[in-house]
Amino acid sequence: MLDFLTNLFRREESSRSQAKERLRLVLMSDRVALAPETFDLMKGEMLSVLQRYLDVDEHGIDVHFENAERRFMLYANIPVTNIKTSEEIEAERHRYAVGGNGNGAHASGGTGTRRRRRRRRNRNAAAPNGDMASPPSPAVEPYAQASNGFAPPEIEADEPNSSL
Amino acid sequence: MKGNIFVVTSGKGGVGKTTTTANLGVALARLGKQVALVDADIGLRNLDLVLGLEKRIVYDVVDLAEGRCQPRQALIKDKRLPGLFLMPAAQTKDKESVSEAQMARVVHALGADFDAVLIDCPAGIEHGFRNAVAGADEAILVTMPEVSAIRDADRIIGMLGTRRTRVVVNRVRPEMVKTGDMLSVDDVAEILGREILGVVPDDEEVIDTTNRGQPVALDATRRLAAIYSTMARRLLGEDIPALELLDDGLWSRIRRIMVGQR
Amino acid sequence: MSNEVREHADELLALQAPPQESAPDVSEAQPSEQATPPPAAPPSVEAQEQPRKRSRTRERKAVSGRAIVVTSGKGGVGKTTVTANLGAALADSGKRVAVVDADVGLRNLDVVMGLENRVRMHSLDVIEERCTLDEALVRDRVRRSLMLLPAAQNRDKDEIDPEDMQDLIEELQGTFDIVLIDCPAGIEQGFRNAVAGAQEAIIVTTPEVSAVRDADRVAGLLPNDMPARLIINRLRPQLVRKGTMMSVDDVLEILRLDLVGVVPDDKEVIVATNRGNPVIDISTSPTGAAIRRIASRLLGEQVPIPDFPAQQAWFARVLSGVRFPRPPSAKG
Repeated sequence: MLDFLTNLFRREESSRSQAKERLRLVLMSDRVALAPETFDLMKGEMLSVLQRYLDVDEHGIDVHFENAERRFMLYANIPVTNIKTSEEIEAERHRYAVGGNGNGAHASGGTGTRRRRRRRRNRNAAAPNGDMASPPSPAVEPYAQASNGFAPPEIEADEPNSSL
Repeated sequence: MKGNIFVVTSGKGGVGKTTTTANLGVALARLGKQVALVDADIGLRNLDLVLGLEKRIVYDVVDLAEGRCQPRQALIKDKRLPGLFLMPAAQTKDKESVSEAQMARVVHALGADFDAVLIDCPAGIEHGFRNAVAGADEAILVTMPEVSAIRDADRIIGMLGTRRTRVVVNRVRPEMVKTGDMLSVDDVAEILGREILGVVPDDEEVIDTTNRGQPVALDATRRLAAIYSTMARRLLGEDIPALELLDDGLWSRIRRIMVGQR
Repeated sequence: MSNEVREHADELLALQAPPQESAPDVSEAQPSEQATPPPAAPPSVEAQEQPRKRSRTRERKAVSGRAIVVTSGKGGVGKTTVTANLGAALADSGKRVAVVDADVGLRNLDVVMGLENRVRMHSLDVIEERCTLDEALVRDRVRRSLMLLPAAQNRDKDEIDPEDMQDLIEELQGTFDIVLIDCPAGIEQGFRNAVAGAQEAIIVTTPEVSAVRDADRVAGLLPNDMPARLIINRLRPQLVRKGTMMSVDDVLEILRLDLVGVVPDDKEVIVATNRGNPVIDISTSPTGAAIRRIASRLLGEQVPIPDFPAQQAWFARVLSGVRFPRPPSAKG
């Protein structure tokens, strides 16, 4: 039924705008598939931020993109095991405000198929207070913020900051 | 400008890489430059055919790469223009006969002797593509306003690294853009996010000139010749704003149509 | 919808580690879009250091369907469009059809068929045993008996061996009447893989010197015992008449192949691709009509190849607003 309505709608728009729309979505999907390390970085940073407020079951995490009929969605299903108290949250924020960047030393939750992530985790584990010895990780511009949906992912060196 | 080495690529086949390579080469030569065109489509060569030089091939790029001849022997001098040379591909070998390092050496050597080197890249992203790109400083990405072509172009952009990449939007049909049946040049520029080197309308003259081995840019009276000439001048560093075609009324109307304004 | 879709977790995108074995329980929860699964060989569950190739372990079954590779050498002559539309036309004739995108890294069959939003797994996922063949197949939006096996977009063609393709296509032949393999441009590994799985070939060319030359080369590279037939695509009768374009006879003089069809050029193909619809569904399109005729010929029917006189182009334009149940035949 949704298909029928979608097609009905589409018949009235020019094939040019339909082509443009389809291209926009398919290219997002293509570009994401072509940058798995970037995607891992993004997921890692998301988790770091969440873990300041929540404890999560890292083995149950499912984060992925989906290309639906007209929208490109990021789905994140994250089992929460505990909500931190305000004191704990305050302590975390204080820790991150002092000299760290937003990435911290979270576990990846996956089986670590990317060698780069394991190396970085070990390096950070050696400097548990998030001191300046860890090199700043590149920030990733979330797709939701791309100005026109077409900007390809770019990895830039980032200044240490405390928020995503 | 000495030694700038361009790869003319696309990802998608059939969008006009070879035609663009041939015509840009002719246009550059007509501007007085020394130009070497290299056919990197080993096994499926066509640049020779498009230039009408297919009967004069003795040595090819594989012979040169394997040291069976001197560079000058593998270069065919075009008799129509003083600065235009072709290094043909081998037809009976396959693309694995030449390595990326060998191709890079060949084109760098050419780059030292010529004002411009244009490498005609095969379709796809396999060994032949990697060879063609290996020695290039910059890329000319040819595409058309069509979904598959642009998707492939986007993929290619990701494989060109930090090379300056400029887009040729080929085979545009202004009447279809106007009726909303074809993506506009603006659409393409927005989607790919790269500077536009030029816009070439679809033209049946291209078939005719290919059949006869006389690239359309040879004939100054043809409208496409002016377009290629403008592109060539931009390649040489002249700052001509994109889409400034000839200034008679017909062209400015077509220009408006092609950018999707109604 | 999110439940079903989550079960099709895309290995490339999910944070979870890729499952070491296929998930047989998932096929029970398959939405009705999947075909009835043939009995798939049970995948092994042991831990593995590198992706295991199913081609080394799967038992060979008897095959019944036909496997046809659609190739050309030259890019851009219409292989993907022909494959998608032939597939649809054959499905309309009541056949179960699988179309296989062999263009790893530059896939487009999905987008030409308008199925890009439904692709989850691909042929390399099947080959490396991250899912079953059935889980990777995508059903066409309109034709229930037409399925697509997508290619991976972020892998290389040389990650597939010819044996892998043979194995995949063989399994498809067990379930489908016809398997069409959309070959990538060129004559490199992608081409070799696509040909490896096939028993018949269709060579697509346009009436242009470069395309004809490349078609000739490709014909020479096919196995000697593989029957090859020719489609002349994007014919423009007005240009043939003007002497600007080669005629069908000109092409056949050079390419001595059995002609299975001639397809006229039509700007409706661009519009159809914009929308992800098959051009055979545009009743006024001569391109669509020609492809339907080719489908009939492939099924053994004797359908004559019409002349495409230049007048027909004018005729079609005059009648473009009028619907006919069948395309207009040549005047006179």
